Amino acid sequence: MRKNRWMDYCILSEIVMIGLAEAAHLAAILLDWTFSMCSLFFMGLTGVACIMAAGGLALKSGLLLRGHMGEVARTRQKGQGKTDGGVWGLLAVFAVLVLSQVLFICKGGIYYLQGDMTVEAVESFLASDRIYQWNPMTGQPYTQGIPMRLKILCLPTLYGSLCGILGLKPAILIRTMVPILTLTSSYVAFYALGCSLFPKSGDLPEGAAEKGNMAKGTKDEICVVKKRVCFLLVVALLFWAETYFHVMDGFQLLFCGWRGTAIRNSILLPWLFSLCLRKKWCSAVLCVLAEACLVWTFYGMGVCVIAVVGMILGERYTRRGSKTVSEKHSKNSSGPDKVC
Amino acid sequence: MAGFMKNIQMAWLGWKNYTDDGKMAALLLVSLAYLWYCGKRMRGRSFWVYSMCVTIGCICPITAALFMRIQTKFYDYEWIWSMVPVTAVIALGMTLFLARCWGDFGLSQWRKGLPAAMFLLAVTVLAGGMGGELPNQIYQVQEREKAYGVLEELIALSQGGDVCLWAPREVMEYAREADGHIRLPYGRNMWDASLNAYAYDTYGEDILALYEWMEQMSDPAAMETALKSLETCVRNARNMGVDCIMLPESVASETIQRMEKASNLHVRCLEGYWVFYG
Repeated sequence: MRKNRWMDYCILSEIVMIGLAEAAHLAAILLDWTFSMCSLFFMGLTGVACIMAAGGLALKSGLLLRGHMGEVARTRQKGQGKTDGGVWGLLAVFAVLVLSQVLFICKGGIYYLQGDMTVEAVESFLASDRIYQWNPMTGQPYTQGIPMRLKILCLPTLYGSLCGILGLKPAILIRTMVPILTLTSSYVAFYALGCSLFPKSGDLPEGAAEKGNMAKGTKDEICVVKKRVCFLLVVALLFWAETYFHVMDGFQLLFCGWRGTAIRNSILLPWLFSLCLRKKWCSAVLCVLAEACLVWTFYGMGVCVIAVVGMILGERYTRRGSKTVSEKHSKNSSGPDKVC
Repeated sequence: MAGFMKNIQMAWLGWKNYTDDGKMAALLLVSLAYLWYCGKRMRGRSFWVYSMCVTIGCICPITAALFMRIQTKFYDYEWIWSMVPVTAVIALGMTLFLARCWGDFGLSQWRKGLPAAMFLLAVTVLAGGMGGELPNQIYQVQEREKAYGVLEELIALSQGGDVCLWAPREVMEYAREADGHIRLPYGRNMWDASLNAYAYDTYGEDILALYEWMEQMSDPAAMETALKSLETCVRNARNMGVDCIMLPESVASETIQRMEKASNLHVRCLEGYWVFYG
């Protein structure tokens, strides 16, 4: 099976971050820690994870550098890896669209706040130095408490810890910086999906290269790159067009990109589909776990579980379908009167 | 059974609401049909099969009601559409269509490609409502800026914002996000009912009375009624720990005097509001 690509590592690092925040959050709730202690624990975990990742990266790059350079040289010799003017043209239009979205978020002011209290929750964590002891809506202690299913969601702790580390006001971090990160990650996730939907021959699992519409020569590979960029461009355009309804991906990214639902719909799900198309089922489980830390839907089972199960069933159905077709083809081709 | 029937009804109404403003759902169906037409040559058939099944499931009221039942009452009908990769399916369909028309996306084939690209652009713009929910949000920008202005003054006045504030809705809405040290007798969940799902806490009759009184004070037509119970409401608020009260600048000077006397707080004017504090 093909190794992970840079897009996978980007999304994976964010999921690890969410996982660490969840660990610190649960520890604080179960052990009745203060928020500053929880934040410190999260920073410690993140520091260890960063050191481990840096070590792993250094080791891997040291081992692979020589082989990779050789591969790059061979690719250049063959004339592969070249892009033509069409790709740059599509990329330029895509860049303009993304830049306009980033500027829109940076300008700020237009948010969708119905049913959302993330900033208030983070403010109350920071002001009280406790987690879910004060009602974020009033700043008074809870009289009845909050449902456990919501208490385990870690996003306010993650944002609060980041506010502590970066020294930013919660409103600025949550409503400007996080949506920009979500938007960028969303494009990374959609690019990963684009790569899975328009694969080059080397991107596919072994044995799959013969099937489908994948590229075989250099010209075809450039065409595949163009399709991927075109896919991203259409996604960027759709994000602008989807700003009319609060459940649409574009609306959530541009008006409430800090919410768990926005992260799930725009990052986790596209990446999950990309993983499923590459048959990386184990990595897909990470999306399910990440969703469980962010959003409560389908009684905690989440949309990602349904997507994974659906994709497995879809895969089995299409495999059976393609077998039937290939059997028919082989029967037909064995006949004496076959015309090529 | 009655609950399930109600869910079916809600699913049907939800579908109508979902397709009311923009027509992305129609574009999704067209895209799915085009991907079906592309057929066996397309890679990612399992993605198409999954998308097709969940789309049908979300449209058909019976399966939609089932999804709604499973997804918990916390979310409305439209959230079951999270299962459908709307953006990805439309983008895939459009890319394949464009690739068929434009070939290698080269400048040499622009005569065929450019009209197709323009057609898709027009379809996308028309299918999206282009900001259906935006006008309301833009109005909130001005409201937020005004509220932040007065709240910043209040935080400076109270040297850190450690006050219990009772003010008109447009100020209370942003008080907790402006500073976590500001406490309120009631919060945004008083008028945004969806926020009540985050806690088991509910408001008592006395707090509801405070909210209604302040709403009446912000409404010139209902102000006369509110003035009759000014002293009682202010006394209740003070007993609940309120140590800062705001009133709109439009109230009469007689009312300000009565309020100052009843609350035993000093009055000053801040950014279009009378503030009783300290």
